[in-house]
Amino acid sequence: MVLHTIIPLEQVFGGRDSTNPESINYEYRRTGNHFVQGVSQEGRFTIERLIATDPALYLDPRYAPGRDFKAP
Amino acid sequence: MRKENRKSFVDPQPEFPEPEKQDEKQGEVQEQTEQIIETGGITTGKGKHCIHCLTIIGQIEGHYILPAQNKTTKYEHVIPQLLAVEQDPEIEGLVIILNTVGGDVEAGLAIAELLSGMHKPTVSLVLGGGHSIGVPLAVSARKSFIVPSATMTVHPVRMNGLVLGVPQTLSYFDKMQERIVKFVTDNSRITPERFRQLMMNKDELVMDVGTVLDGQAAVEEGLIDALGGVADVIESLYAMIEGEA
Repeated sequence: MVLHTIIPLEQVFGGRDSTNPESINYEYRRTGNHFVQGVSQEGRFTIERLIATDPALYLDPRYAPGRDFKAP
Repeated sequence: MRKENRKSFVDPQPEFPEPEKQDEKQGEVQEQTEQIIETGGITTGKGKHCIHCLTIIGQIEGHYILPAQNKTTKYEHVIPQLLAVEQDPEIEGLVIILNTVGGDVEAGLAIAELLSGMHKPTVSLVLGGGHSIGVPLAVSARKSFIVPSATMTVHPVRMNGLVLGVPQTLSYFDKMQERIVKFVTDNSRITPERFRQLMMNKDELVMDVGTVLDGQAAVEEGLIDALGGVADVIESLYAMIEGEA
């Protein structure tokens, strides 16, 4: 990975090293013909990524990263 | 859902809306605000033309998820969004607002290439900062603006992880850098020689080589088209949509 940034790399990757890898348990929810990948915590499912072939869905605020997913 | 929302943006509102209509309007405003906060993007149809605003903030995240302390723009979400904007007949133009510290070279160049290949009118505005890989993103729009107080840092690429001190490493870095130089010089008025000169300047940064350009300097160097603010961006985009520019 080549980063082109003004932020020092130790700051960008601060807290993450080989002895302390960040492990994220992603879960998937199916909604219609597409999936959302996210993280469950405290009864909420926060969207991390939309996996869909319809580009219009990426403009739909319901599937934006960071948003709580509500099953339709 | 999206089309229903869009329609509600352009519906004429009565002068004294009924209480339930007022609640509905407040709900729309709330929803629009939430959309800006959470996605950094918004489609607005309340003005003369329906335009989409994409904000590129923080680090451009590439193939690796960055630790949570970084604010990031996720390329896997932005790329299909740009495709949708280009394809959607209701959206007439795109504004790209940049306040980025840079990020992954390949993700940044991927977004920049998509933007430069769009048929729909595109205008970019650099606010705060458009550093490193933010430079190709800023120049990728058909017309670029920068506010006077914003800065753009032009500097060489770096690499994390194991780096071998062999000639091949230098050649690889050179190739990565050349991709940026070529894209920037193809999409702006700056020459490759001058851009490389700014990139390798040893007299300006304490911990790095490179140059920090403020708004005025970025325009004088030919990197950005004009100094301006949000009104200039909207005026320029409307002129493009109406075929005047």
